[in-house]
Formats: sequence, structure tokens, C-alpha cells
Amino acid sequence: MEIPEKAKTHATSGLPVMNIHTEVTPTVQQTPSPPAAPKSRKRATRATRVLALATASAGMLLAACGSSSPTASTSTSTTTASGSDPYLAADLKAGGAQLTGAGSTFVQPVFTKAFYTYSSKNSGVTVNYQAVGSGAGITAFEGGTVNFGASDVPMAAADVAKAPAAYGGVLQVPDTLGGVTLSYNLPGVKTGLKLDAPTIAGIFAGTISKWNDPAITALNPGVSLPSQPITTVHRSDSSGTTYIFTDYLNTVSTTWAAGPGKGKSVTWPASSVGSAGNSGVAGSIKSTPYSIGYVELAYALQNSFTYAAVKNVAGSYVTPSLASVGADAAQKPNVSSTDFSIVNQAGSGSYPISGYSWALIAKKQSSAATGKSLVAVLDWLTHTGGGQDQSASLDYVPLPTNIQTLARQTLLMVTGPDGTTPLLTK
Amino acid sequence: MSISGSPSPGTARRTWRLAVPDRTYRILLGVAGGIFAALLIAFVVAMATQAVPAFSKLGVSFLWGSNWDPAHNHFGVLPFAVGTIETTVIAVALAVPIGLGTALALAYLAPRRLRAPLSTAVELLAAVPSVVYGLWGLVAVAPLFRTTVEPQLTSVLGWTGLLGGPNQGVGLLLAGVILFIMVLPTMVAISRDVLAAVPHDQVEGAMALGATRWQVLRKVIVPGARVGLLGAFTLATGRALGETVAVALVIGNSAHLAPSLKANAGTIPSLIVSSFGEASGTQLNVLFAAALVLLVVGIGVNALARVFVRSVKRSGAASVTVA
Repeated sequence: MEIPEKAKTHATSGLPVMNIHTEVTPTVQQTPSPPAAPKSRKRATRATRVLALATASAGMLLAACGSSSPTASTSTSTTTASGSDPYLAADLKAGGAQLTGAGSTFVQPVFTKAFYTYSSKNSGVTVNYQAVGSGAGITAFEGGTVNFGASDVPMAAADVAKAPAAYGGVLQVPDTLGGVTLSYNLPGVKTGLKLDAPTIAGIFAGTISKWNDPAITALNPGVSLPSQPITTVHRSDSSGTTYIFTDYLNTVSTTWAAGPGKGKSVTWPASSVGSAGNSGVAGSIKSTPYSIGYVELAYALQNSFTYAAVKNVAGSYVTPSLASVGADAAQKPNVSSTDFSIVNQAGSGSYPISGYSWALIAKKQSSAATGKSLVAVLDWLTHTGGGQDQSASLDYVPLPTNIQTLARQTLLMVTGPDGTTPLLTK
Repeated sequence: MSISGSPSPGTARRTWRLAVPDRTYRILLGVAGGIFAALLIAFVVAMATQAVPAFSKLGVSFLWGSNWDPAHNHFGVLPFAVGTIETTVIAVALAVPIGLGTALALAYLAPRRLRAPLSTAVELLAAVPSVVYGLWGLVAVAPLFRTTVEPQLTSVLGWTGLLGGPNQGVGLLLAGVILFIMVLPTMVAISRDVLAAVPHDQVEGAMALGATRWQVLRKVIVPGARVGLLGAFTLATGRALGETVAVALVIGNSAHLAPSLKANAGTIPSLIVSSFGEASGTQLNVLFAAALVLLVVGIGVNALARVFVRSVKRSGAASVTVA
């Protein structure tokens, strides 16, 4: 959920260097290379070259600095005045504020569109969201440089303890729901591969190493599976996608739990190929016959990938979709920052590899006005009729009703600087 | 730096007039140099500050630990350090002979008409952003490696035991080869310049003494350009050591020591680029420590190259006196 942006950074951070070179090369080009060139001209060339080197290195320095700053930022400008939209009167209550947030790249498409929509309806509010990665988002939130953070995995108790005392505690609000698909490249088997939990764990642990392994053939009667080694592909960058997928493996397989475990990056078998970002994993799968890897649902849907149906707890094979991920999430009516895993839920329509992304806010806001805008925006973001209406069109799963209620209950706990006055008025 | 002139008042004024730009220039240069030094120090200090908690929490043993497992708080960076050195060695071992050969050809052997366009082509290659090399490697070269290069290599050199495992395209070897292609332009461009800068009277003198073209190249031109060639080597090695995105795309990113040239591996820069955004706490400190290790390795390579050139210089001088 991270690297598309990352790749972009490097593409852009590479650019200044390239521009400098393309600017400079023509002067070098003009120099006749034979040593018969007049001396003055030769000296001039050398000077240009030194200059070029200096500029290039300066460019690189700048680029290097640039890469430590926000990877991608989403600025929503406020142009349109508030119209006669009925929703506006009821829910777009935020006063004027410039809000900033940072974190997860997974939620960026949703946030970009949602905040843009919000700003266009309520011109007083601007939300600048920087998709720097969940870890960096937590750091920025703890450092107090942003109004809210966004993380694909809730902050651990240890991290919460590190938050400034002035925050009066950290509230974590589920804001986006997503799933993880198992995409594969299996010549001869275009669609319809079926897998169950032990088989998936076996494949990614390397214990099931051939496509015609009895464990796979038993699940796919009538499909002729080749006697070819399986190449597994994993995310090399740490990401929420990896967290959700390993959370699933960790839940369904005791051997996996005893081995690699779960996390945003875990230790994969040496034979597993690591690629950066959803796009990297997808690219590797596409270009490597007999490979299988895990890709975030929105990405897989948008690029029409081939993915496997996964056997859920109820015993039925379910393909990943907005509906099946939503069904899985609906099975768990209550989540919290300590009990947030929704993988492997019951229900015959549930797709078992799913998870939430979270917004992080201080319980005690240092400014009542800004805090009021913040909770109003987040409340709008997490509800149908508001930000959740944007999700489906972007192939993200709208939050189940009970989670929307939970988000509101959490936001109602946010107070002003006095620590008692609630900021959200519903 | 003031120029001491004669006591006559006219010259004194002239001297003074000369001295002002002179002094200004000196101050400007001093400031420029000072900024550079300050940047370098600030850079190292900032990295070290971030890295120190890693050492205080984990000791120094994580530097040679081979278990990288952030989920369980194991942070051994050895596989990545080794991967960095392996890819760099492959790249430089290919780039030195081929780069030197290309540079000699461009400076002395190629038809005069081809030299300028070829030189420009090399310089343009040096300006291609690294991510482009990486994507090209992943999309175009990796399939070629999987279907052709790796099977062929394995059938010829399989006996060495360095080419075990399946042919999968990405891995240590591909990363090394892509790095080689990336550092080649640097190597060639600088080498060509320093080779062309060897004084012509020396070359002509050697020819007048009856040396063949090969002898002139080997005994006059290459030794004459030694120090510059070392610079080319150092820059190429530096680029190979520090290359990030391209390597991350083609190396397969495994946290294990590669058992074979075809296996997945990882390098320190590729580790940093892939885990920095999501890292926090100890892992973040460890990444800074790894960056520090990379810096030290870079300085080490530089120092080794210097020692090497000094020894070559000495033995070169000796052989001249004997001959």
C-alpha cells in the first residue's frame, strides 16, 4: 500500500538530476574530442564540466533532501462556496480550518477524493493529507506536527504511551476497509483457482513447492496443474497489506504463527521474491510464470487481475470483492485499537483476508476551533452520505454500519482544551 | 595572499586594487568550502544521533547478526551488508575491464568520426535516472535472464556451485549486472577524459622510440592516467554501493544470505528504501545504523583504492628505474 508513491518519489527525485544533465550535455557535446582543440576552448569545457558536476551534485543533494520530506501530498483547495446542498446544512458543520494529516498510503485515494469533496462543499476547510507511510504518520502524529495521523495498523500500547501528555490519550478511529487478494500467474489455469488456509500457509512457507502438490490438486478437481515450482512473491516494503495477509496466516496456521508470525514486514523464505508496492508485486507476478503473490483488493480490481477463491470458515470458496470483504467485516460488530483483527470471520459470504485502516487523533484537542473542524471532517469521512460514499467508486469497501456508529462514538469522546467539553455535536 | 609590491605609491594602489577581488574571491571560496564541510559534519552527526539508540539497545552484535525479522525484533544486518558488497563486486568486476577498454577505444582507437557521437551517447546514459534502469531490468532483462542467460550460465559454470537454485530472473546476478550497466557510463566518461589528458609529447616520444600502439597504451597512457582512473573506479564503486531503487527492483529482496548467484538477496540501500516509511522505534534506529555502516564501507573502499594506487605507483617507479 505504499510503494506506488515511493516509486513516484524516486522518479521525481531522479528528475532534477536528469534535467541538469540534459541541460549540460549539449555543451559537452559541442566539444570536439580530438586534442587538437584550441586551449581556451578546452579550458572552458573543463570549467563547464566542473560546473555541471557541482550543479548535478547540488541537485542530487536537493533530491536527497526531498525524499525525506513527505512522499505525496494531497492538498484540497477551497474554491466553491457552500451551496444549497441539503447534506451541507446537516453535516458539514466544520468551521474554517486548515487541517493536516499524514500516514498510510493505502487510504490516500479515498482521502484525496473525500477531502476534495468536503472542501468543495464547505469552503472554510482545507485538509492537507500527506501519504508518507503509516510509520512516518505515527511519528508525525506523536511529534504534534499534524492534526491527525493515519495508520493501517492501530498504534501499539507502547507507541500510545509515547504520545505527548497534552494529548490526554490517543483515540483511534477506523476509517477505511480493505481486502487482500491472492493473485497468480499459472499458464493454463486462467481463472477459478481455489485455495484453503493450510494450503496458502504451506505455499508461502515454502513447504508446498510445486503446483501439482496433492494439497492443491485436491482442492481443484478437474483442473490440470503443472509440475512446476511455485514462485511466491511478497511485498519487500513494509506495508499494511503484508500485515493483513500475515495476520490471516498467523490466525489460520499454528506453524506460521510459530515461525514468521505477523507484522508489516516479516521474514519470508529465501526463495520468495520480494517486490516493492502493490504494483511491484503485480508486475513480478505478471512477468513470472507459475508465481503467486498477495495484492491489495482495490489495486487488483482496478487492474483486473486473476485471483484465487479462498475457503472461509464456513467452508465455502469466496472470491474477493467489495461485498465479500464487507460481509467479513460485518461479522465483527465491535473493533477497538487493541482488538482490531477481522481476518477469518464466520459467515458463508465472508472473504477472510480483510482489515481496517485507522485515523489517529488526540483525545484532548489543543484548540477548540481546529478540533471541532477535525472531528466534523472525520465524522463526515466515516459515514454513509459523507466520505464513505466515495469508497465504492474507488474499489474500497464502505465501512459497515456498526463500525460507522463506533467511529461516531469514538469521535464524541474528543474534547476541547478544557478536557470536558465534547467537540462533536450530533 | 596579498601581493607585495614596490613602495612607490602608484604600484601600491594597483596592488591594493588587485588585492580586493583577490581577497573577496578567497573569502567566497572559504565560505563555499566551509559550507561543504559543515554539511558533511551535520550529515554524519544527524545519522549518528539516530543510530546511537540502536547500539545502546542491541549492542553492536546486530551488525553481524544474520537474522532480520522486525516482527520479532531481530535486526541482523549482515545479509544486507554482504548483499551490498556482492552486487558491488559483480558490477565493478565487469565495469573495470569493459569500461577501461571502452574508454581507451573512445580516446585513442575508434575512428575519429565516431568518437564524439559515442562519447555523447555514454554521457547521456550516465544521465538516465536509476529507476529507469531498474524498471528496464525488471521488465526486459529479468525475463531474458530467466529463459536464456541463467540456464546457459548454469550449464557452463554450474560446476562452480555458485549457480544453484531455480532460474527466476531477479536475484543477485541480475542486480549486479544492472549495476554494472549503470556504473559503466561513469567509468567510461571519466576514464576517457583522463586517458585523453595524458601529455601528447609522452605518447609521441614513446612512438618515436619505436613502441607499438599496444606498448604505448599499456606502458605510457594507462600508467600516466592511473590517478584519474582510480577516481573513476571510486566513483563507480560509490554509485554501485549506494544505488537504491534499481537494485530494490531487481534483487528479489530477501533477508537471507544468498546461497547462489541466482538467489534473492538484499542490499543496505534497498532495505532502507523499502522499510523506512513504515519503520518506527528500534527498527528506525537500526536503519540509520545500517546507513552508517554503508558510509563506513564506502570510505573503506575509497581508502583501499588509495592504498592500492600508492603501491602501484611505487612499484611502477621501481620498474622504470630498472628498465
